[in-house]
Amino acid sequence: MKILVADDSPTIRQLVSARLEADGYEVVEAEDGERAVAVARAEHPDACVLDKIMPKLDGFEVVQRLRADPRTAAAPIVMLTDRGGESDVLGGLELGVDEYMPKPFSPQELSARLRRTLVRAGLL
Amino acid sequence: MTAALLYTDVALAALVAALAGALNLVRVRIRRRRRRQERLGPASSRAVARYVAVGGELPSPAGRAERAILRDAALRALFDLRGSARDQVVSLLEQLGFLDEAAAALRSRRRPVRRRAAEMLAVVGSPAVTPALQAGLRDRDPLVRTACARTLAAVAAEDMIPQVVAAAQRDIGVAPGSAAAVVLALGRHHPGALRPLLEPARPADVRLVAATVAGGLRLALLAPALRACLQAGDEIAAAAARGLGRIGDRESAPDLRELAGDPRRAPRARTAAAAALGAIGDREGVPVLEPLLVAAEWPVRSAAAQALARLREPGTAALRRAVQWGPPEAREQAEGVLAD
Repeated sequence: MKILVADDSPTIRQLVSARLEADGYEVVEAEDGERAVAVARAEHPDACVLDKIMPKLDGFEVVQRLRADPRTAAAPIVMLTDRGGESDVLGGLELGVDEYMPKPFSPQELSARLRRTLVRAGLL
Repeated sequence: MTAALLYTDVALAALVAALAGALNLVRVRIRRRRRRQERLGPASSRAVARYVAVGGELPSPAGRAERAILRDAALRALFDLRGSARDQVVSLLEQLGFLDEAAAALRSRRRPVRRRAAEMLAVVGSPAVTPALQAGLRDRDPLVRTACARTLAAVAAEDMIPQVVAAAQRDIGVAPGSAAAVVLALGRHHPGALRPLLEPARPADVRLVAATVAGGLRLALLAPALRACLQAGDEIAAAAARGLGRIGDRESAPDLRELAGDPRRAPRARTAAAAALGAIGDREGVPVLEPLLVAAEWPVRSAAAQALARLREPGTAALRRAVQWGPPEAREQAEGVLAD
């Protein structure tokens, strides 16, 4: 199972990727929003873990593009956010974000939430 | 004369050459440090991430430079993590000896070294170095003292908290931002410790910071102390009023009405009191708020109108009266909030 991890912080990318690889997932990474969309279209990940604030395209814009493309529309999405307000969360849910994970985060909790979205999507 | 000029020229040339040499040396060192970081940084971050994910063997950096890069990678990870993952990174720093090094660095003669060590220990927040932090409260540098106090506020046992409170009070005058961070840490971890900082005998700047923190964190147990602060100077009273509004302390309503309606008090105090009356839902405050729609100061009028809007029927009735019969300044405010 392949997971896209997109975050402009190399530290966060490494923390998330190490956790997911330890759980047996294959991980592909992107360091900004444009790259995230490009990697998703090329690699067809089964799910995505996206940061909300990224250069070039932010997390919401990435979600919009992924949901608009039939090749990537179905992949569950977990979004990492700073302690965002209610409007942020509601906006994301309307666009199609499946789970939110506030930062600072627990990699174990992120893994559990990702697993839950994959189960709900019938992929696990 | 000619010889003197010649000597001066030679001396100047030597000085310029020495300066250029020193600059070059610094540039070379910076470049070398950057290349080392580029070479070793990603591997260190990956090592920390792997340790967090699967545990197992500790990373084993070779050499001072690699140790420093690994330490910085671990500290960066601390900002992004919480829970057991964060505890693992703290444990990694402890087992690799970084916390002991920082504790020892708190005794350095060089202030920048002590400051970096104190900040690092504040980021880590481990009780393992409490004795060193306690000694750091007596450092001659206020930024070292306040960083140590901030850490102790989060990790120290209850019996050490009075020392932390004393440190915050002592340094509010010399390092107000850092001391305020200590008060904030106390508010988060030992909220009752703020009570002495709110007492009338305390200096005004101490009471102001404590009132702001107590209200910002909505510390209901400090509501009685905040009520007492409504009698203090205008800045403190305003902070206390805002806090009581955030807490939703209905018992403070009579004092807030008195403050809002007192023309001798500064506009900012009256504005905060009026807003608080709306926040706590004090319908008995309508007779106090309605006349404020014609106050001389715009912020007071605006706060009164917003508060009346929050009080539903008796409040909106007062706003409709202002629209129908009030002078232009009251009508403007009332129409504005009724339209929202």
